[in-house]
Amino acid sequence: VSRTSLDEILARACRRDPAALDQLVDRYSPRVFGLLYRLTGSRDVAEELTQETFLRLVRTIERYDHQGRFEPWLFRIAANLVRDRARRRQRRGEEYSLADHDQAAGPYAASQRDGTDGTDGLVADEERVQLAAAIDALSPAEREIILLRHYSELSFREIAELLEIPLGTALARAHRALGRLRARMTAREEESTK
Amino acid sequence: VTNDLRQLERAVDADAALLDHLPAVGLDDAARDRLRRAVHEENARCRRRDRWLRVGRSGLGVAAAAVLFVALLLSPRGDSTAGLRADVALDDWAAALAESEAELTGLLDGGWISGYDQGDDALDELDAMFDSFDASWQQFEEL
Repeated sequence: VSRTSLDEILARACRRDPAALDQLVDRYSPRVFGLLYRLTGSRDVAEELTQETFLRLVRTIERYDHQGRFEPWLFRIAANLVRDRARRRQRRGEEYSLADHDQAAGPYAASQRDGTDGTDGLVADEERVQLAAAIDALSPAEREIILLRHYSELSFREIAELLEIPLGTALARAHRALGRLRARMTAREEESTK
Repeated sequence: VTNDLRQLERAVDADAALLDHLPAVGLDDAARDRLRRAVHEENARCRRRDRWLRVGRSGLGVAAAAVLFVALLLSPRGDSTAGLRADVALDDWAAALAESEAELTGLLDGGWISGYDQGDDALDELDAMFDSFDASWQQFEEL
């Protein structure tokens, strides 16, 4: 979305124009849902949190000062919802993590279970599915940081603030996660060529 | 240290290109429709909230002005300290008006604060409150 176009859509959304809100939903819900799905490992939870993200957008859009930072603002809402959910689960005695799905409930496992990979009806090629599985196999902390970077336009500084960790820690964690991901993919390639 | 962090960030972003091959996931059409519907309902709710905030603020302003007017009428004439007391009263009035507005905003915003945790029931209550406001307003207009 060009800057001018987005500015215009946001201005109309501030005036509570339903068509402008539809445009925001159409443009951003796939990425918001993608992040939430990969963080939570559940289509139902991701749908619920996507809806809540957009409801919060509607409630606060008139107070939001755009200045070209709409996407980080939107994804911060989404990420905070996942964190809030994780905290609620922690209060109930369940283990805390931002990306709090367990390995068995990860998107790859879910896709195997319900027979869909959510790729708009297309069958993903083997490499893509293996990549999703490799991401599932990362630790929740590693997964969350690279997924936040991938789906949102949050800078690493903003991600570090969101996760309440130093910038160096955020970068090192992402670097380590991507290294592990690449190693896993390379290992799988080598296995498949044997 | 800053340069090291920048270099690390560039290296991480270069590595992150690997994620471009991640399978796309998206909402299906039914889920997208549900999302749009929920957004429209919330938008309508916000419109009602905004309208009642405007009405409430106007009402508070009129009421506060009336109180101030009566207070000034009742103040003793020829009293040398009356002017000073009027200034103090005006400050108190302005502060009270601001507080009332903040409370009104809080009351109307409050319905949203815990809506997610409390589910649809809280939103139903909020809609009922607005329905009640609208019905009262309609009766008032018909007087």
